[in-house]
Amino acid sequence: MRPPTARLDPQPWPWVGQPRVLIEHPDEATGLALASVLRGEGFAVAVCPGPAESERCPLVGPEGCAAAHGADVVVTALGHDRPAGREVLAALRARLPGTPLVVAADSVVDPDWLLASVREALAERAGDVA
Amino acid sequence: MSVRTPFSSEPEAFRFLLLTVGAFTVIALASVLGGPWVGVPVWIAATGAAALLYLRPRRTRPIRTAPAHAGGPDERRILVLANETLASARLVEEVERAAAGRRARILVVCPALTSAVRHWASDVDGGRALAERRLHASLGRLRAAGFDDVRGEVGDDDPLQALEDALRTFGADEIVVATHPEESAAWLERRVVERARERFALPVAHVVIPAEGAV
Repeated sequence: MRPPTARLDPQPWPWVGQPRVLIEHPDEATGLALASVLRGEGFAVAVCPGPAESERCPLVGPEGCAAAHGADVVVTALGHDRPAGREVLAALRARLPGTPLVVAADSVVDPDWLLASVREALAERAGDVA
Repeated sequence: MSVRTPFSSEPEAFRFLLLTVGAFTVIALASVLGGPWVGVPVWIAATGAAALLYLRPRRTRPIRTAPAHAGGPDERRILVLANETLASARLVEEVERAAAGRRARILVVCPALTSAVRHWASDVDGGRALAERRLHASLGRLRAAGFDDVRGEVGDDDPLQALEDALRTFGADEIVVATHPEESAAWLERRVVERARERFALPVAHVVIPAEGAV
């Protein structure tokens, strides 16, 4: 008989030893495609489609967001034209001041630009820490 | 899962205000036209409808994660979750498609599926023995199909946990899930494809192995 195992809720970042990038993109397929680019370059990824209409992002509320808090870099492409996108961006800046933030001007994100921005953000962060 | 918050945003709060005004208008009209006691059931019905609308649990949009790609750029890592023995040509075709012409490295994970009673009693010995049989047969089938970089392991009795455990070390680029038909699926196997797609930021392919393809 095997001893009973603890059934924990899935953790947002089960992957250790890899730089972690949270991608916030309203279109899930695009978010996954961008995640694939970053994975190929050695980054662990999380993809969040942002809050649905009538939902509130947990980062804005008191509960916070474990995925955002555990990320080394956050890429947000939720859009400035949506109130929810602006609200999430403000919450990211207020609650995660030490986490580099890559803000896409719109939902069309060039993979090369994304990769360069994430690398630059991580390098800046490493410089700050040193 | 979450409930709907009436004050999560300005539009949502305005919608809640309109609903409240509308409900009280209906209650007032009912009271005026039918008398005060007619307004009471209308008020109960309106309150019940509002509670149903806002307190009904809703599925939140999932955050998916995935580890970094492991291995060289010409390598395609495929994680196969074999809830059923992979004695199916359809499965081999799916693995070939997932390899996308690149050098395929395959990890087959066979979860030690058990009944709910055995699971809660932590009696997984029987499930592990069956999983080991499935694993050996599956590895043999894939090697016979020409895949030379194939290994396997018996995983947790929860298929989703088995996938996550394997991903920690394998860094797959795609997941292929082989299941029984839904009507004969084990209890922990149900919705496994849907749940895998909700949890992992990776392509998840699904192959249903009919009973005659099983060993």
